[in-house]
Parts: sequence; C-alpha cells; structure tokens
Amino acid sequence: MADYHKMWEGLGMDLATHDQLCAALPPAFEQVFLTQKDRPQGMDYFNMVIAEVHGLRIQELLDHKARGGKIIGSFCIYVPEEIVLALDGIMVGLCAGSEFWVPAGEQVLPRNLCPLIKAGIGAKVSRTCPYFQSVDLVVGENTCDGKKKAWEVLGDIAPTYVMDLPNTKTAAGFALFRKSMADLVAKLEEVTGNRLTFDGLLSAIETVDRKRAVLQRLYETRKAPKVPISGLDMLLASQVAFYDDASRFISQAAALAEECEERIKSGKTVFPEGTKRLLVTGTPIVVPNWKVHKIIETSGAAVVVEENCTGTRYFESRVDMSKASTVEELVDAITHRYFDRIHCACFTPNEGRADDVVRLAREYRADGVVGLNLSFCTTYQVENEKVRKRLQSEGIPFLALETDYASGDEGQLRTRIEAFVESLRD
Amino acid sequence: MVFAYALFKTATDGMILHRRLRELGVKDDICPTPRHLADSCGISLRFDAIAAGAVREEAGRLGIPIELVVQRP
Repeated sequence: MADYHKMWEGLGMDLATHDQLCAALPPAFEQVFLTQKDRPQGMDYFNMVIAEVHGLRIQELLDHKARGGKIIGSFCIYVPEEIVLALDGIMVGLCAGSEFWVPAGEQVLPRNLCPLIKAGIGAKVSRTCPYFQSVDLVVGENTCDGKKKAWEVLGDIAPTYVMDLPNTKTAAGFALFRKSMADLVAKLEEVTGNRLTFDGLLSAIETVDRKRAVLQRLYETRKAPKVPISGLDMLLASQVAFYDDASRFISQAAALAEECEERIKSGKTVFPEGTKRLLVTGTPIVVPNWKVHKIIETSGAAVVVEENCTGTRYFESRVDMSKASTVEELVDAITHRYFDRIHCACFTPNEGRADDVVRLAREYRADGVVGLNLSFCTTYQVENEKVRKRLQSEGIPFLALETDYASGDEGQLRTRIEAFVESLRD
Repeated sequence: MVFAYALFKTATDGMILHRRLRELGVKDDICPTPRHLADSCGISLRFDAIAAGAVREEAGRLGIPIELVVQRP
C-alpha cells in the first residue's frame, strides 16, 4: 500500500485527526455503493478515484505545483473553470459534504448556519483536507449571506479572493458580473504569473464544454424507461467531476455513457419493475454526502435527475463562442454562459428555476419531485414555496425535505420518502 | 458472506488484477481500503473469501505483490 503520510505531513495536515476521517470513508462507501446490484463496469474508475481521493489526485496536484502551476479552490459553480484552466491552473471543488468537519467549523462559525459552509470552513480549520491544504487561492463568491460572511473568517487562515456577484438578472446585474470576471482574470493572472490568451482561453472553453457535454450524455441515459445507472452512481460521477483531471474524466465518463447506452439497447436496468422515478432539486450535494440518495433508492424509487449545482446546473449550458474573436469577447461569452442559464436561488426573482424543474420533470418522466435543501439555507428554503406552487399547477407531486449531514434524522426522512413514494403508486 | 480484501502497493496493480479477475469471472469490487487493514489510503479489491485462493494465484501469475486479509464476521 502506498504510504501518503509524508505527503500529508508536508501539507501541514493534522495526521491523527485525518486518520479518524479516513477510517469513516471505507465502511460508508461499502454500505452505500457496494450493496447495489448490477452497477455498470464503468463505475470501476470512479470507485478507484474515491479510494484514492486523498492519495493519487493530491500527488497529481502537488506535481502540478512543482512544475509551477497553481491550484485554485472553489465552492460554487459560478466560478469560471475555463479561466483557471486557461491560465494553467487546476480548479478543484473543495470538500464540504461531511458531518466530520462540522464541529470544527462551529468553532469559528455559528451553529445555525448552512452545514456546507460549516463543513467547508471546518475542513480548513481542522487541517484534515489535503485539497484545502494544497490550494494556492480559494475563490469565493457572495452568493448568499452565509458565504459572504464566512469568507471573512476563512480569509484569516487561507488565501481567499471573493467574487462580487449580482442578485438580479438585469442589465446592471450582467455588467457587475462581467466586471467581476475581469477582476478575477486580473487576480488569477497575478497568482499564476500567466497572461490570458485567445488560444489558451479557447482551448480551455473547449475542454470544459466537453466535460459538460459528457455529463449531459450520461444524464440523458437516465431518461430511458429502464434506467441503466442508479442515481447514487451518477451522483458519485458528478461529484468526481469537480476535482478530477478534466481530460481523464471526459474519457472515463464517455466510456460509462457508452456502456449505459448499450444497456438501454439491451433493456438492462438497475431497478426493478415499478420503481418510481424522482427528480431531486435544491441545494448542492457535495462529496461525500450520499445520504438522501441512498434513502430514496432503498425506498422503492430511483433518482433520475438532479436539478441542483452538482446536477444539471453544473453542465446544461455551453459557452457560445460563435461571435468571439478576442479575449474580451470570449470572456463576454463565458459571462453570458454563467449568468444567463444558471438559475440559483441567490438571484431574485428566479423564475427560470421553476421552469427548469418542470421541464426536467417532463423530460426525465419523473413521477414526483423532491425539494432537498440544506438546513439554514434561507434562499432555497424560501424559494421552495414558489417551486411547490408551480409544480402543483402542473400536476406534479412534490415533497419538501430539509436536512443536514448528520445521520440522526435518517429514520424520519425514510418514513416521509416512503410515504411519498407510496402516494405516487396508482 | 465473509469478505476478503486484497491490498496493493500501487493503485495500478490493483486495477490490473481487478481487470484480470473480471475476465476470469471472479466477482470483486474496487473499494477504499478499510483503515484497520492499512495505515494509509488506497484501493483494495473486496471479494468473497471463498475466492481468496484464486485471487492469490492470479496475482502471483501477474507478478503483483498483494496482501490478503479475510474479514472475520
């Protein structure tokens, strides 16, 4: 077995506490993923990535730094990966999906705060995340009040830059977002020591758009009446997309998509006849949060699509480069891609989200929609009412759930989900 | 079922053996190594302990050093 302790020590990690974190992952992974039947063979790669999540990939990042490259951490899909990549940076979505980190986060943040924020900050406070220890810069954003203030705390213990994002989808909002992009370019040029070029940015856009396209292709297979891959496995693949090498991920995800497409042709499915199909919408589901997907998929239902930041919002739209012939025009195009089509509840109004939920529910033949929101997330929880009313008008059943990362409410969640699934039966 | 785990020096070794076992029809899963079996992170192959002999034999044929551990219930 490769011994990564020296590497972790070199990153300034708390090895004893990190060992406790590492002890929790293997049994959780086996219980969540390896109890499933007929998983696609293509999931082997993603199993390996998770098994080596604090090993091989960290070594790759450190090798990149040794060659002069920079690692940029982020927590939000509004941070443009294309620009980081164009400046020879690697962007990684930082860990924020485990209850393990929440107590450390609560040392510096209030308890009544989003668990994702607490876990993210806690991962750094506890020095138990090698990704966090590896980054040269964290790019935050003021999408919500919780994050806006949390960056002030993070800034004391990690190099942090905050993008100023708009709250409205207006001309003024776009102008602010466009300026924030320009400011981010300047900051990243300073950090990386590289200049943004037309060819470099074009290539980066093409790479990131290919990643989006392969995720779209994988998701499309879940529209089939006989679903070839579980929602849990698709969630794992999506989560890996946020920190894996882009080219390798594209290749492996394409192989998985091809296998799923073959399964559709042969009628092979991972769910028994009569399994109800659910769309999950709401707050992001980041690694290693697999809790609600597991409960849903062991309660007689399948998650066939996710309308959230770790789902369709991450990949559905592309950059329209057709009218761009300069760096500035490419940055305009990138800004439009992020501003126009990502319908996050941090914007007001946010009618586009309800439209997306209804559209996806129809496309993926969902029998019902689960609104899954993290505790203390004001924006998404308040927006739930709009989503509920819209779904009611469309005749689509809806279940609203609020939870965090702890396991204490799994029984209650299961009871409510089972009752909801039962209500969907003819 | 009683599970056994094969531990490896490198992830590449583990993936090579996994592919070979799949060709032979030996059912196994790639998984994170249980922490009580090793001090560091990395991949293991988990399989029915009944197949331990076959796994050891194939690893030997491929020249892949492994450590086999049977997980007693």
